[in-house]
Amino acid sequence: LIVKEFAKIGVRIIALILILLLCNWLYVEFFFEKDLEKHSSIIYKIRALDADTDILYLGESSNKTFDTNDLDRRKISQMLSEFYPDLKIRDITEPAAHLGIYYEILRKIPGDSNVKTVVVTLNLRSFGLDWIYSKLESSLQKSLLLLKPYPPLVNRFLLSFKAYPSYNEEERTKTIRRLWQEEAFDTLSGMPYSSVSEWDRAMSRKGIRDTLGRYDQAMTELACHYIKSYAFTMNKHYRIRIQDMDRIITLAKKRNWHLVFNLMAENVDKAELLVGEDLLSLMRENRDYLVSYLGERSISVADNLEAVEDKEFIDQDWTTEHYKQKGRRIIARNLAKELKPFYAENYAESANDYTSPFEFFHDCEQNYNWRQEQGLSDEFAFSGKRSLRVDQKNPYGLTFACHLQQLPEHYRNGVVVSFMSSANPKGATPKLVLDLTDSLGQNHWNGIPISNTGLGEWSTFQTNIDFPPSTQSIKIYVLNDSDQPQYVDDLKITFY
Amino acid sequence: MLFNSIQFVFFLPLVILLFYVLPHRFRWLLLLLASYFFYMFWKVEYALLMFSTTVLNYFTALEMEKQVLKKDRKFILIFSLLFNLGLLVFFKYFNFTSQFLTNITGLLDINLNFPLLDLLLPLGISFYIFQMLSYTVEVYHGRQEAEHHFGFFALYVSFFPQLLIGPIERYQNLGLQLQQRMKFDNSNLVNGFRLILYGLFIKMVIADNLAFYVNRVYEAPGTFSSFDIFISWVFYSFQIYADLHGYTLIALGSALLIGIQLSENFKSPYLSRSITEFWQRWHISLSYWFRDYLYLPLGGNKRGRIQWIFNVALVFMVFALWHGPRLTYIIWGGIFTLFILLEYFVFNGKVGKVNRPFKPFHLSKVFLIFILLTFAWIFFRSESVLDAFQMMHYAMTDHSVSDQLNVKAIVWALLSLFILSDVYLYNTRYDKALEKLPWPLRWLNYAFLIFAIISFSAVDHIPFIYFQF
Repeated sequence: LIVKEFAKIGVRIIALILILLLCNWLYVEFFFEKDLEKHSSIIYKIRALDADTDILYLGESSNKTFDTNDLDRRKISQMLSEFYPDLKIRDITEPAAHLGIYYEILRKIPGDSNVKTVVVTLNLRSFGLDWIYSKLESSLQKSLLLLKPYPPLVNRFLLSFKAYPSYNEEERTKTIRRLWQEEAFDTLSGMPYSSVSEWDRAMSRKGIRDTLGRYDQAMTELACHYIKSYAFTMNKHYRIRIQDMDRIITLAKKRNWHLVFNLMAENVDKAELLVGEDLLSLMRENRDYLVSYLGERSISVADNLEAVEDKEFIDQDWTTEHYKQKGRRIIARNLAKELKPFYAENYAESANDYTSPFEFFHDCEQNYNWRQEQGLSDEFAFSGKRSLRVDQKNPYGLTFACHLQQLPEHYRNGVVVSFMSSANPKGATPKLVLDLTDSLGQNHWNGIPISNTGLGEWSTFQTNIDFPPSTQSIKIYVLNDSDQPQYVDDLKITFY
Repeated sequence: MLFNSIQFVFFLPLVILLFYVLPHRFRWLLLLLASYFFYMFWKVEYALLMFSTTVLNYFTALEMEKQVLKKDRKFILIFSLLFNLGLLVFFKYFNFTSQFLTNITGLLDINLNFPLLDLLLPLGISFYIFQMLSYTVEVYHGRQEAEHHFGFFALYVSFFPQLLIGPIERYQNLGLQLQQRMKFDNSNLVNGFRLILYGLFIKMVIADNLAFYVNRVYEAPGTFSSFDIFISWVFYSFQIYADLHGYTLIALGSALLIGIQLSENFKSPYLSRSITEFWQRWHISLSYWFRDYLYLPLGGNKRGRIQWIFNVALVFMVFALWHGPRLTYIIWGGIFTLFILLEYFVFNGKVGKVNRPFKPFHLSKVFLIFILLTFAWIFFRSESVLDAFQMMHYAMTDHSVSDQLNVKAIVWALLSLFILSDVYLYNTRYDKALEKLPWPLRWLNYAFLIFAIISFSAVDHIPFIYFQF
């Protein structure tokens, strides 16, 4: 009887397996792509990666955040191209990402990809409890489930049964508070407080005083936040990140990638000013630990921890790694130097002043946060795969605008604009517009006709203008309101 | 641990396997350890709380049994009631009362700061406390002997399938089954899995997908059209039903895998033809608890109309307050009191029995009752009375709209399927109904449920609604 019962169960198990196989087929055929689009859109960034990419930059918001006053709004990864003009450098940028997320992204890079070097953003704050138990962690982990190396139905099963860490706000706060209280600093240098909670309380009691000696609530809160963000020692909680780091190193070795970690700059000036030397030494100690850990494994690190000064941080009232153009350029330059051992022949020192640029280039391949980038088209191109299409639908092409005050002092006399041009010479009537505004707010519109040789044939267009003495700002764009499209590629603007 | 979590997917088969592998004398220990593990997965401290209340109730019942004089037994009963209900009130009402007193004294310019405690309501406390109370009262009345084996009693309190949101079981049913020698029975295993499968489907696919739309509208009703607001009300009626019923079915199924029959908690409640009938079909174990341990001891309907009206009002008031300190719950309870009284006086007490056959002309009554229930649920779901009235105001007036609910076709299709299956399962249970179908249809059913659970479940954590109580 027992044998009969077990036989029945056996038949059912086989039927169940068949059902699951059928379900997997149905799911893949009709639902998987939609689920990827909805829950794991990061896969599209991986899929969109050009097959001939040489260097892949993995970053979080530090890579792409710019200040509204920045003239150069490019990502750090795009600025890196200035030093390696022959190499194709592309990025995958995911806000709040950390080493665990980067590992999963790297795992999905196709085996036949051309990528030879991987730059991984290393964010000191991401080792802290605030980030490990971040609000965004659940959704990040959730977004990776469908990318696991299992059959799609299994991945969807994991997603349906919530196989990702999830805390509600109350649990999250309580866990972090408890750990801040329980975890003692394990440091060589003597610390005045044994835990984050103790330090936080002491700071809160003492407070930051304004010039009149009054308790400054906002600055005190900021100081406490610095303590919570950076006051940790690499104890058991950092291991989760170190493990991810190890997995990335192993994967890079397996895939024969050069690996460089890009340790992001933190606002050490403010940390020292608000909290003091103790916090700074703790940050340095953690940095030294990471650099030596990676050094022992022969992995390069671009150490930017103290590379950016306070005024180059966009967020002055919070701890972030969001830099103004100068900060991003400094990091790009440091990183470029770290990549030199792998690409010595390709390295080219940038002509641009790294503190304040005067030369701007748009290759029309990627978005560089210029205005009117929606006209970028992949119909044909002079170089690369894309160019700018200007026509009745998008009559105003890529627009560059700046106040002359934003330029270095010796580069406010005039501008040279050059680009590759292609259009039907009889149909289109395009112009390059140089729109100057003087100190009285008057506009001086200069429309320079663009000459063309034929659609699909590329010719160089170049013009320049000297600025009248009262010029305050300039706008540069291509204008074409005819139904015949004007194509533009490799637009270069150089101030002199 | 949640029923719809990946941990439970591994936990349950392991416990079942060990249960049948172990000799009978060790099984209670396995289930007890498994139950505490299940509970501690959430928070260790509150497992200690459950354990200490279990110890106290265990000794209280033993002591009560020893007493010969009724007054001595009553004294112990009162102590037990005060302790258990006091604990419940403490967790549910301490911070509310503190805040209330601080506000009141503030208004009177006395400005006293009453302390607020960093309390999380222990999961399942309302249910296991009620279960222990029912045991103590049964022992008091002599309808149940006190359990002398502490392990069996602790297991009765903490039995993981029904620990968190019921069904609330009497010792006569669950306690005694837990002591029986259970033999491996294939039909129990099959029926158990059927119930779990269907329970997961209606929780994860129906309730959680509806929750997405309901939450959006309740968070900002002013941005949705009147039609969308009406849709969200209807959706919530089905969400709360699917959520609670889904949990109960998984509980029933999990217990059935080891041969234990738990009480049924829902019998197609939205097919009720009266509010009275609804309460005989909705959350049956809880409403029967209130009937047996509050309504009937108060005299039920045997002491005249005035006393009966008072009893009904009091029962619904306590029922509402059991959910927590919110005026919306009290209004919700008040609405039901009103409905019951109106029903009684309009139909002169002839509201019909639960088991009378369903006729097509009953549909209009079913529809009317559903509208009334949906109205009551608006208060139950709203964060405050003001929110509820504001939402009704938005539903009735022409206001500017900036959002659209855009319910997906698949959600409508799945909800329709759920409603049809609920009609089909009228007065029966999914596992029993499935037994009558030929095997190809049964397997088609399994295939569909498995596929739907995996492919169409909501992906966000949406806790069971009754976890907050």
